[in-house]
Amino acid sequence: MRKSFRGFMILVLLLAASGLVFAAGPNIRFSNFWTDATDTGKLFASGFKAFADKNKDLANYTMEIAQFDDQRAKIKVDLAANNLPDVFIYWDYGSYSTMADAGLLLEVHDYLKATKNLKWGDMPQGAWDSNTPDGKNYYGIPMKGFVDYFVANRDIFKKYNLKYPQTLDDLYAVGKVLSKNGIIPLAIGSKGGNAGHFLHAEILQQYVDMNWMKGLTTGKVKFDSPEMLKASQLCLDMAKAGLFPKDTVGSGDFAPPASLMNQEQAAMINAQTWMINMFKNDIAKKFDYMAIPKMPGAKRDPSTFRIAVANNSWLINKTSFNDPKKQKAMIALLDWANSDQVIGYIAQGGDWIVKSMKLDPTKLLPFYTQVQTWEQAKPKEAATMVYSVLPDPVVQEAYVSALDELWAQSITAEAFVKKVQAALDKFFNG
Amino acid sequence: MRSKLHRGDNLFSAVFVSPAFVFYTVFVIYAIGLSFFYTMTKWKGVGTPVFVWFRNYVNLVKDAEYWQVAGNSFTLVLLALFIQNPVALVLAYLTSRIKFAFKPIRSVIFLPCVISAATTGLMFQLLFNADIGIFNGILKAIGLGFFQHVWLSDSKTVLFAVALPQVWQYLGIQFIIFLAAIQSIPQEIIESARIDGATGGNLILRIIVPLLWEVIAICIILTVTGSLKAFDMSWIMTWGGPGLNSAYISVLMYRHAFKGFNFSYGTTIAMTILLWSVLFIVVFRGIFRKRGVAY
Repeated sequence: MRKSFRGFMILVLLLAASGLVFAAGPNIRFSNFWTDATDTGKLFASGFKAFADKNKDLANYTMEIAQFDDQRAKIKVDLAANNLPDVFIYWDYGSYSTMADAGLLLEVHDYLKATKNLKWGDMPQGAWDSNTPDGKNYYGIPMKGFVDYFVANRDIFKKYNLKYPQTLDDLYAVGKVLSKNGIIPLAIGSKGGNAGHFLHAEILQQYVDMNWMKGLTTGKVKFDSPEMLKASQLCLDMAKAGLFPKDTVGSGDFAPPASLMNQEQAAMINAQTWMINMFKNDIAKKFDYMAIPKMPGAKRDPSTFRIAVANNSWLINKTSFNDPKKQKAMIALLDWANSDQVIGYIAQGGDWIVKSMKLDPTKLLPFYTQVQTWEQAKPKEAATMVYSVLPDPVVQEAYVSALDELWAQSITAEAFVKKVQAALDKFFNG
Repeated sequence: MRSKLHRGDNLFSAVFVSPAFVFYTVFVIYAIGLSFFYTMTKWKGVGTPVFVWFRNYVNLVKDAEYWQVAGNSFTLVLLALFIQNPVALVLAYLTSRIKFAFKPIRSVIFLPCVISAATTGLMFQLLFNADIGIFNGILKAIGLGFFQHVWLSDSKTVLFAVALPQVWQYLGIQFIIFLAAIQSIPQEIIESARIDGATGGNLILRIIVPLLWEVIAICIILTVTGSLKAFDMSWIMTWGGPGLNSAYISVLMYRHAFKGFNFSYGTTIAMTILLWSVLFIVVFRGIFRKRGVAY
């Protein structure tokens, strides 16, 4: 019995050792946030498997997935465990500044020099700008972005004989009629800042330009400023006038407002392109594109700009890339991840891409094509989110948390700007 | 002088206990020790933690946000203590008296415990949604329309809206513990009490509670420590908002550590959950040490 047990253990050890020998290539970990519950995730899963099988001589490629915002927590846990993936999707520079400052991320020119498959000019400069603190060093390859679009349900407006609001006064007038008939005028709540912070930023940028916004990152511009106070007060006044859902937290985030539009319980929405696949096709056909109403005393015409940000990028683990054993495999992976085929997956799933490339319209969602048409009809200046220009994740958290209170009418506009300014002061002054 | 047989027995016992001992040491004791170390540092998850002694704790004491969420957690503790435990005890007593359909009733009461917290949270978020949820509709239908409210967005009601599913979901755990304990009481004691004229509330308060005191004490400790750790409902339903009005200590910890990259401060916040739990257990056991009776 003992001899046979010893023989069995020797056999097990030999098998394990041979497994290690055969799996001798480097391990390359690739992390993204599309689960196979999404169309993009299904395309990614099959595409990645094909890539990994084709390149198994280079490395053992594995894919790790944490759904959307869970990706932030996953990467932070990996970071704390000193176990950052080799290539992973993340958000804009403000979100990953800690990793960049610690020297964990590759400056992207090092990859661009090593590859023939991607050039700087493949993405617009505005997309690259989300990934730099100084305009010289860039730490992410932008691949997914979004644009803000403001739409109204044409049938609802027709039913109540209303015209699309051009000004704030028009909006209040339209809102009164809609509310009286049980229709929510604007399907915009705020839960964790979503999606109220987009409207907040759109309204703010009727009073300020991109240079002012960038000043928030460096502290050159104070959050507690007359312009920010004015924009915040306007949002609060809209909430008080019943323009938003009653339950701004319960009906916050993205899916609940989309549901309100789908059920035709709301008339207008300030949506983002990742919501394209949340709208039913027959409802999206009823959408008319419009500019956000002009606010009193606005210095910029809202029809001339809209928020367009490259908010997701591939980040590259610097240590892994500079490891001679891994570099070739990492370049192959990055070439694949930035290829037209894979970026096409993102578009086919309904997400907005930033790479200049041709898309097959037959593979896109009808509403995606519609939003593209709106975008291309009239060139607009790119604006950004307040969230993106805040310099630190703790400040970003303070902003979205306070915004929930503003939308829920729990605090005044003055208290809101002071709360966020206090977080900024703590960040800048230690 | 120990016999060989004795030493063999000890070795045998040690071998069987050792996996649990190792697991507990590594994943509990070591983890707590390492967490305590991180609370004494300034660390953003990258690089070497910088030792700052008790500065995080000093900052915590001065942090108004911490005391707001601590207050929310203590409110949940009180709600759980004064609703969950008494209701579970009464339900357990009543269920113990049922002969017909005892098992289905027991299962139905315990069922919420096996539903995932995420599902329960989503369900109640939809239920309480003032725009599309049915709770306000139910209130109107039963003539309580004046109670309709924006449960999840009003800072005065959101904490209770978030606490209610938590209290409801885990009531089954206390229920099943109490039920097992009540069923272990010899029937002769209950019958004698009835013969002496004890009924309903008297029976529960003067007979069952004293006999079950040790079990009740354990349930109270489990309720308090479980409530102090609460996270799911708050995060799923409202992300702790608006602001921090429905956030618990663990939600603030999550925001600092996993949203703000501030791991050392987040760990400090998490450590206070342990400290409050230990403080409660020490005080509680000190005051209520010898209150039970034996049979």
